[in-house]
Amino acid sequence: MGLLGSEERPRDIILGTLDDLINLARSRSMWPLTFGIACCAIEMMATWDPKVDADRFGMFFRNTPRQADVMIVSGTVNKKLAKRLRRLYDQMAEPKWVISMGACANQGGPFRQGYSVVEGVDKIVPVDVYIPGCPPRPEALLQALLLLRDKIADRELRYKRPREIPTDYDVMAEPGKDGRLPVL
Amino acid sequence: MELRMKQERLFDEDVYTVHPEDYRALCEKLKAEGYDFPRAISSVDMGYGLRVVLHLTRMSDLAKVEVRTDVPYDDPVVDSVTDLWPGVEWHEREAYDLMGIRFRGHPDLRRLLLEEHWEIHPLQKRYDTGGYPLPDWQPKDWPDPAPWEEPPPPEEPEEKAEGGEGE
Repeated sequence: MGLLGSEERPRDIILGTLDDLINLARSRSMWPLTFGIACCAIEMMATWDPKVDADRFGMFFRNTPRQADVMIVSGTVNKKLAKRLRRLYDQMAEPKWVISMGACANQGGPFRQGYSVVEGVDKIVPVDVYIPGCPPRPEALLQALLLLRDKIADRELRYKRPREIPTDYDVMAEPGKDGRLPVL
Repeated sequence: MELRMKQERLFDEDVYTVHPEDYRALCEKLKAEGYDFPRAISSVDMGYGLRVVLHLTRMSDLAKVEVRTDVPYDDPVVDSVTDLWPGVEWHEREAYDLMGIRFRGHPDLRRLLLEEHWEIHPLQKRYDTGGYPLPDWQPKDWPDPAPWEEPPPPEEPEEKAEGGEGE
């Protein structure tokens, strides 16, 4: 933010850019989507419990993707879920961010190379913050949310997300089949 | 009618190994005996064929039985028992989905867990963990005697020469 009040300026005037103002609003009201997949979702719920209390940073779960800003992928993404997850992501309004929580969402975890598991949610949607752990502690998720908050606060308003969202639907195909699935 | 089956006792369960054509008849008999609770249907890839294991319990005295039947790979069909115990419907669908066992007479035999357009049954041993066919997989020979037949009585071991072995 710009100059606070000084001797020359009245104390109730703050100078800043529009970027700062909008990013301040965005980064202080990150609303995650109510979307839990597996055991990481238990830790995600614990992050909003009184002990860690992510509410104090202005984060509240929204029950519809149209009102959500952040998708927390908390668990194993299998091929059947991948299409639904991608559809939820497409329904979220820009700007939107994705947090990959835990080993399964990062790269498949213990189920990697299974016949039904997508090896990393970044093959489906672009990911902003990865959290290691199996499952990560609530403090780790909170740190990721704060990292994402800083990332949002640093962004320019003119910034557009590069549209290189992965569209390689082969990761969801049946093993042994070359054909691509029909686009959603 | 004489059922082609073998009965044995395994821990606290009676285990019936039955010919697949007599599986349904045995299940009707067990239903008449009061076995009213199907705990699960499990399926096993035996290497020579697929095995269906039906776990039943009688809630009045908690007696437990297992019904096993083996079917070959190229024609893995057994009769459905969904009309006897409606609770097994999804168990049979799961066994069809993951192991490829067809249940004749099932009201709605669709895939339960995997995508409906998939063709593989990934828990079979002919696939690796990623669901890809193993190139050098071969089925084993069907066992003789068949699993539902009593094994022949062990032959009396011939008298061995003293001090022949075990020194």
